[in-house]
Amino acid sequence: MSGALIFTKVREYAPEMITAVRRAGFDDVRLLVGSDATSIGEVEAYGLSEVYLMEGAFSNNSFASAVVRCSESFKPSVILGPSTKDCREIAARAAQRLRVGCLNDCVTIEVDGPSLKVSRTVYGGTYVAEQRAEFPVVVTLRVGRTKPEAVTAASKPKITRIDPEVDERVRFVEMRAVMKEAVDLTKAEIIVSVGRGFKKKEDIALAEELAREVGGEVGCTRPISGDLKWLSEDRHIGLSGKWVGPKLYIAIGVSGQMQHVAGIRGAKTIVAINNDSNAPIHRESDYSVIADLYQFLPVFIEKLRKAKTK
Amino acid sequence: MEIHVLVKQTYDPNTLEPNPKTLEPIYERAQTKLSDFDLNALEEGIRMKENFKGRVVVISAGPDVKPLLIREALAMGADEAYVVSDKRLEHADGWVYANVLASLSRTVGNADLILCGECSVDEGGYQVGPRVAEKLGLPSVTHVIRIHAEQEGLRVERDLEEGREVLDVKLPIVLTVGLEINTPRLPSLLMIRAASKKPINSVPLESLGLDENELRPRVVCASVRALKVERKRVVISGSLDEAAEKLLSELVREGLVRI
Ligand SMILES: Cc1cc2nc3c(=O)[nH]c(=O)nc-3n(C[C@H](O)[C@H](O)[C@H](O)COP(=O)(O)OP(=O)(O)OC[C@H]3O[C@@H](n4cnc5c(N)ncnc54)[C@H](O)[C@@H]3O)c2cc1C
Repeated sequence: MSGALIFTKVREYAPEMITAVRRAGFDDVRLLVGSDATSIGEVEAYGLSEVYLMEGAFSNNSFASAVVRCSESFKPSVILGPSTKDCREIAARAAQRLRVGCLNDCVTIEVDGPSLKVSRTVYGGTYVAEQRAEFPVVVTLRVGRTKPEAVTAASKPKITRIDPEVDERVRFVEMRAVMKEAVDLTKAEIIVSVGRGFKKKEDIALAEELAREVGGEVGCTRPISGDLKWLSEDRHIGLSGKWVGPKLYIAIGVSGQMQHVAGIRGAKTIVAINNDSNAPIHRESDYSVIADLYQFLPVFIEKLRKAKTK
Repeated sequence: MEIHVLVKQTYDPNTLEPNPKTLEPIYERAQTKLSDFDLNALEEGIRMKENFKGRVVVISAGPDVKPLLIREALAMGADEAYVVSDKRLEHADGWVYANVLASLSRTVGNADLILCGECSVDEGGYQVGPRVAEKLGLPSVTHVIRIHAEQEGLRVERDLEEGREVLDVKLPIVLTVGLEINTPRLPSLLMIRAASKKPINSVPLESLGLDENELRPRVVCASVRALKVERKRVVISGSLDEAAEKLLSELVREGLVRI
């Protein structure tokens, strides 16, 4: 086993990715990052022997070429990036060019002899698979799961500049901001989740009121943010949204389809409020109330308020 | 415009029950379907054809590709299909599938646009599209949520963690799409009937000219187990008032809600 190459377009993910490979047993860790030298000081503390800097604008295709070039000179056993949309594409292209395996969106990684053993969710988040690939291998790891840890007496890494390959076929036009409310559901202790059982956008006020009373955040199913746009995309929970792990998850008017449930498996306690006793969410819950949300919520909120003022 | 859409036949996770003892999936009892996002890719390809003329070719590979599912894709409006169905693809990974699909696409002809789902519902690997692009020497753009045709090439929008990225791209190119881009059409009876006359060409794996190395999977799957979380499954009954009272006292007792 030789070293590990970390690649990330965005510098912020570097500390946790470096920490993850160091924990897996890699000592020679190098970083390819899409940024300039000014901000590199912050990542040096995590233990790097070399930093490859790629400045300026570049496409994923040309970042993948840079991953390949660095790998060919450094010959790492593991080439690892954060599981973001950009980095998964970069991982796949680099792996194809290097003629090696690619494991995207891993939950855990572990060295096992001459190969890397990982766990990943499959079948829409309903199963977990243990998979293995011989070195060298390209991997992306889910973000927000490894607490970055600085190493004591980290030495200064060598800095090497990489020129982006020009690719005329894909031209960047602009990055548009999307509606976001700066909420991070992955860190919430209590989540009150809104499903299609809510008939009108205004009715979400009921869930917001409950969330205020219990000190939680409001989340939702995909139709609420994606199709109806009643709440912002960063509140969408499930397979194609956020994977959350609160102490308490209150699902209101949520049917509990597999794609939604995939994102709430980490919840300690799940409460379902749904008027259909056959809704699948009841099988995934600790407490089920089979009732109309419009009738139940006002009564429950009132009781909660009274209990607090007593 | 020559449009190739890569589609994968997968187990439907909704019908994939685990063995209660081993927690392994019982594949024999599960239903198969076309992977969700591939249908979005197909819908987008068909819309492009409707607007700009040309043809849509369905490209599929797997250990046991069911013609019935390919007919579904044709019924949506694709013109013909090229399929590699071979037992040797039983343990194929992203590397093998990309090699097979890229070669198959090249055998069919030079595509202007190759579309596929951003990942498959079974493996969730997010790699076949970009790998195929790399193999064919083409650029790729993933997670596309809108495609506009321009004078020269396409303007595409991507849905990223940090915002909406807009790119101008030249053809030929590989694009991957997800749920957000469209709602796949349900074929009418008439379209289903018309599809029975469309050709499904089966292509032998040998004819693709791939060597042993290109067909050797890099990733091995050691185990697959259901992610089961045991829940208490307590049903709180009684009048609205009683149910609210009971729920509140349980949550307070467990220290989940502070009063
Ligand atoms: C590839 C793919 C990825 C997906 N990813 C996600 C994802 O990440 N997250 C996600 O959430 N979904 C996802 N979906 C969609 C998912 O399959 C479901 O369609 C969605 O979760 C359903 O949302 P819902 O529960 O709000 O709506 P519905 O399924 O319509 O359920 C509404 C529920 O409300 C109940 N109800 C109605 N009226 C009342 C009332 N007055 N009082 C109480 N209860 C009431 C009904 O009994 C019903 O159970 C995905 C789908 C696909 C194909």
